[in-house]
Amino acid sequence: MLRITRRDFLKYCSVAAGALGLSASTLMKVENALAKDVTNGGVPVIWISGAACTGCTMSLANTRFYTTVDDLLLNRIDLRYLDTLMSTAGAYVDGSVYEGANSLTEAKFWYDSGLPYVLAVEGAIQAAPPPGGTGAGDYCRIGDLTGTGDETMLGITRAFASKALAVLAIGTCSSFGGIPNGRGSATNAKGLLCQGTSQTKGALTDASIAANVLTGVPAGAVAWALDPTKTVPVVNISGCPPHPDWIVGTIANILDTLPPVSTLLSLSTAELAAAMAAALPSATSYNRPSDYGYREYQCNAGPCPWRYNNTTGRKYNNSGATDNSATLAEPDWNRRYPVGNSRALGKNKWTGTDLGCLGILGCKGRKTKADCSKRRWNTDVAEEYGVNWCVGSRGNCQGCTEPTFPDKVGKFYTFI
Amino acid sequence: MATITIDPVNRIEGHLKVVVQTDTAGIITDAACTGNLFRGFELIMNRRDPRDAPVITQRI
Repeated sequence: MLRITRRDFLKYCSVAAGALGLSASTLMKVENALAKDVTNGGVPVIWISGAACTGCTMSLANTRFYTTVDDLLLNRIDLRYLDTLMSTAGAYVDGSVYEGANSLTEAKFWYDSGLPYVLAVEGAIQAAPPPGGTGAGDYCRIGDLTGTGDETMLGITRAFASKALAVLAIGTCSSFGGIPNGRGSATNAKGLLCQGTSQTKGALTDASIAANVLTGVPAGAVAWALDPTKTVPVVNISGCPPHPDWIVGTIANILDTLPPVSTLLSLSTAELAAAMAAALPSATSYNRPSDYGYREYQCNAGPCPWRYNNTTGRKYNNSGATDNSATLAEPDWNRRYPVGNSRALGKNKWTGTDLGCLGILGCKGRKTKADCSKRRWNTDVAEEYGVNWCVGSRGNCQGCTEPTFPDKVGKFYTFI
Repeated sequence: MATITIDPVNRIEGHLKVVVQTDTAGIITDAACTGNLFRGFELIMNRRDPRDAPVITQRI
């Protein structure tokens, strides 16, 4: 397969466009047309970011296991709007659109068109009205649609989600509120479906949020426009940031399974629902895809290499019973976390000579459902697991995939 | 004479809006940048274990 970077691809485009005498806007149309051909008319992805640190985009950019980011963006998915990665910005002159390509107006084109698209959301959605601002959601403005105003993340998210085929909440911030929703924040940051563990206070599910500026979005909970009786199918890919495999695996899986746009438009409501059900991943707690961790605690998923290393304190054998015999058998990799008394396991003390469980030092792995201990991070070879992970390097698991991150998962360096 | 607005500025981390005013000769007479996001990390870090500070701040 020809491997080119996105930068090279755009250089080829600009050389070709220059030779053809095309302007910048037409250049972007060339880029878009090529991308569309390559992805065979697949469902486009619109990615908007709110109260974010862009870590989720960076994690996406570091994907290696399934595919690299250039292959993903050029060959696999049709990412139409992501302001961190897209090549040019739109511009407005004297209040009217001068350069609409790759601006928020292009994203809104999909919303207005009635064509199916997948919405990816990064960063929390802040619903509080700032003092001296223009109303709810004004803590985060993400773009300009008219050349004179600012669109809030709250308004744009609720609007775009109401007509999306599916919504992917990338990261803990857009799944649960995350760090912007930490105790003490003044901005009422919400995830799409959930705020913390509450599933009725999300940006899409909170009935107390008033109607949006963009027309056609009802007040309160948002309905899936193609079938008003259903709520928006939201997949929460939580993590701070989520592992690139979780993001890419879920996105590519959904978009590879969905039929092309032309087919989708010809489906009846029931057939469309069936196509979506086939494309969306099976979900575990809080709508998180069960294929990518989120099912087992970190201690079990890998399993964590340190849990059997205590030479002092209690040891547990494969059936979960206390076993202080001299050597333990190689752990049964599929077994579940020992029932009962996880506090005791986390409290195993360790001496200077053995590398034991870090729970006593604040590792929240036994409260965190993720598969970092299995998949690890920073893989540099395709289709191989990563080099290391937080706890493997003797750091603490911070519990960043949990809905209660960073508050109830607790102080990071204290055993809780 | 013309007001040029770029919103959002792309290829950056975060949200930024740039407004530029030019006169008839194309000379820029006024320019403003707006940072379009407030999360309040100082408020969030208040009353926490101080060892949590770098862990939370790294997400800025």
